[in-house]
Amino acid sequence: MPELGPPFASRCGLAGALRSSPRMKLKIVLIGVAAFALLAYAHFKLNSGPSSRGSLEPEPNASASAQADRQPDKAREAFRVGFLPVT
Amino acid sequence: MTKHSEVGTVFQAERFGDFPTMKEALIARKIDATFMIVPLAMKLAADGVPVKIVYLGHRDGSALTVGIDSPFQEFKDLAGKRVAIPSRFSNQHLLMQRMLKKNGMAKDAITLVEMAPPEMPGALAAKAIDGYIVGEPHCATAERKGYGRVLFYMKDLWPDFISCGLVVRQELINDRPELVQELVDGIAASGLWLEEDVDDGAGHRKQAAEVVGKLFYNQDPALLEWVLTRPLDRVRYDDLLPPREKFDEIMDLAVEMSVIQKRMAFEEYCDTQFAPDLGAIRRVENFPPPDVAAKSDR
Repeated sequence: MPELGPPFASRCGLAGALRSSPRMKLKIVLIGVAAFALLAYAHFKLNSGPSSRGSLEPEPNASASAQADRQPDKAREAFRVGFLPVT
Repeated sequence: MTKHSEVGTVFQAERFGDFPTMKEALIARKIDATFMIVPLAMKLAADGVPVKIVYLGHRDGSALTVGIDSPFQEFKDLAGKRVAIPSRFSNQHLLMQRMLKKNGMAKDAITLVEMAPPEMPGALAAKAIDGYIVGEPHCATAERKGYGRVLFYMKDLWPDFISCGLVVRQELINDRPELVQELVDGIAASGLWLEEDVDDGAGHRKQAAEVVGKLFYNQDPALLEWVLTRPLDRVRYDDLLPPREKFDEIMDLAVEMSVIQKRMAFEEYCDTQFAPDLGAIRRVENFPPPDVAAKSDR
């Protein structure tokens, strides 16, 4: 890793680390990669709940009528019969 | 059977204001079954939607209504006029075409306009249309309000007229036939109950008008009572087995009018396995249930 000049190093606040031994630099890189992986995992978990399954599955909906593609639940007691108030 | 029933499955009634919305709900399986105009059900089956007509809900119950002061006395008098129909996929539409042919009139001799049934009485009152043909109680609405009169009852033009049938998703027929049977049995039992005392004051019909008007139709019970009793055969609830011969006639007319492109065999859109033995089904008793009576008294 090329040595960075004093102005950059001083702005980053990593002067000491960057000027450290290769072993320390490796540790810093590994810590950075681990942190990135942890952040990515957290992002995935936070955004993979029921409301974000994508367009292939219907949004869960409190309304009894939002069951477009689901198979009928055999255990349920009621099922819906439509009508127009006309003979 | 509804949530108010003492026994049986809970069937949740879902009211619609027009047939296109109902059709989409059935296609999307937002409802499992519905009462639907028969040619539309045939059209759905022809288009590959897995549905079958399993029973009827009633017989007759439609009329052609015109303005109370209008000069129309015969069907031919409607030439050049505007008449509303509930849908091009309705038997009311087929009947109009049948009558045009029978009277030697051109297919476009009368301007037919599609309109949601609840809007028809108002359109007649506003003189936006000259008449409308639809199921009750929309014909009685114009009569009772004094601006309409019945020119023809369907029963007089097409005996045993069929308007709506019970249409069920094939998945439900396959997976839960016992539910379909329960529903059909309930409809048959209700029909027997309604017809039971028709020659003895028709008290059951009056009771039904009260409950249905307040809890399901959101319509004036007095209007429904008018429909169910004036005359007593304005609507009938017997003979609800889908009739092959009549359905073949409806199919022929629908194909002739290009409402349906390809003729279908009866078995392709109708399943009569659920037609009950009327002597064996459980009869309606204690109508209405106490909690329903309490609600309908409010």
